[in-house]
Amino acid sequence: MFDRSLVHLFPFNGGYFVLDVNSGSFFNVDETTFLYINKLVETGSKEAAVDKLKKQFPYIEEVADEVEKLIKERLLFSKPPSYFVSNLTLKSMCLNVAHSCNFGCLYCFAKKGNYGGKEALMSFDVAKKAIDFLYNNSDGRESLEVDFFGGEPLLNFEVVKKTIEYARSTYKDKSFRFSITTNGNLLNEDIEKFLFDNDVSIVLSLDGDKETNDKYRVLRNGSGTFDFVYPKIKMVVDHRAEYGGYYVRGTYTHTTMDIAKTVLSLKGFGFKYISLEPVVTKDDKISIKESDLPKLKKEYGKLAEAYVESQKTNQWTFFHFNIDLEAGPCIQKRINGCGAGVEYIAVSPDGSIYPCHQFDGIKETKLGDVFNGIVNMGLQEKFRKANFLFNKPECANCWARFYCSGGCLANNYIINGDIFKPYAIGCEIQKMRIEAALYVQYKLKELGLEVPTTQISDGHCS
Amino acid sequence: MKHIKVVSKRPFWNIDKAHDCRACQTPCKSACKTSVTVGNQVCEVKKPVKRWIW
Repeated sequence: MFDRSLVHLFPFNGGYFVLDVNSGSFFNVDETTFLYINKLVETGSKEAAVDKLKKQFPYIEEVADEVEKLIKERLLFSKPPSYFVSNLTLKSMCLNVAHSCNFGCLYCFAKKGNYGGKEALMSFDVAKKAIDFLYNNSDGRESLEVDFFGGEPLLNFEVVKKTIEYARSTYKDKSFRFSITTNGNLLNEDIEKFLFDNDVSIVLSLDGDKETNDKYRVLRNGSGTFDFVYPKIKMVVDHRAEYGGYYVRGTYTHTTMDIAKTVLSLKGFGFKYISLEPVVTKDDKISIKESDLPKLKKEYGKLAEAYVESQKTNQWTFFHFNIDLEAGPCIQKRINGCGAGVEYIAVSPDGSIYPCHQFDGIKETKLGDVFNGIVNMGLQEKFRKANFLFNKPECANCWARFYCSGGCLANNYIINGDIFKPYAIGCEIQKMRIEAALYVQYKLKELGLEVPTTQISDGHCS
Repeated sequence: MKHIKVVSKRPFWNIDKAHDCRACQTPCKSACKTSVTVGNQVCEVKKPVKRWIW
């Protein structure tokens, strides 16, 4: 009954916390309670746990009664929620409109934009076929998502524009939500006006201040990019100040792990929606290692504290700290992973379909193309299975399963060569990020502050 | 309670168990985008009409 996998106990920034894995119930407890629940798990019975702790804590019965009350209310050591296996259809597409980039970022997974092949731009014909494919395979969906990606998608802006117009004018019975991920170099006021007017969300890549950014985000000749990109990113952010619809996202590596400082410096630039992500690579010089994890944990702790403090005067969002403790997505959503190869696909400039953008160019993972549809049904079935949380043994018993929903299949493949085998470092980072997010939400609630969520511009549009 | 503060009560069970509306954003966890995990998302149905993806 008191199975370790049913609860997660963790100390954070001087406090003690307990998460009931299956119900999402979350508690701040005193140290005695923390020790008692640990002992409960260890011994398997209330009596034995009380017996072990009563000398040290004469009031332990009181603690035990409080814990028992929560168990009776099914708030602690609760049973798993019920779920069913969904018949998922396509919802989201990454349109790799440019296998080419005007930057030469040193950590780029896309091999400086060409994905290990020839440089290429997607034709409008292929883009149209991709939109047709998305629409025709999206039974049951009302809202579809398309992300323009690369390489650098603004190298092919004409196709981006035409594709948006084509999708919305051709398929009026479904809504299309667009996003674009850009290094910002080609941004200007006209492009931003088009993107803004067409409700295109924008991910702006910047790794931090000049020193941090220019370490890896460089041109092909190795020179830094901050000086000319920052004003363009700032232009977009200022333009969207009232409405949001953007994220400034950076990458951190083994050599740039001062994430608290980096995130706060991005905030200092006036950016309100920020994300900072770990590099995923086998390159030993920059990859995050197991020995980096204690430092990262400290960084998350530092950032969490600074984040809470700053919310008192200035609301902003660090993406990893968004977590909805009242409800959030339904259980069906929480058990179905990222959808790669099933709900989500990537299309390369020649029309090839891959399970996601990170598989682009890996020939053995090609699912088909936009002209003939999915032909490698066996592979798609494998991805369907891998997306289901409980098909991955390590995920099925992980305390973070209903927040993470099973990790990144591409990372699993890149690091372990197996989409079913979780990328261990990624899992550890994910767990520390969830602990920090839970702590942040607790603190904000304690302070009576409104909890920022991912909702950026609610109520703006009709 | 003296020793325990309840921060959140059974949020996973507060959601309609049969719910499977497929409206939520696909949570691409890839760090090369913005690593959306399900925990970082909000339920699309409960959100007001919105203009942007996030």
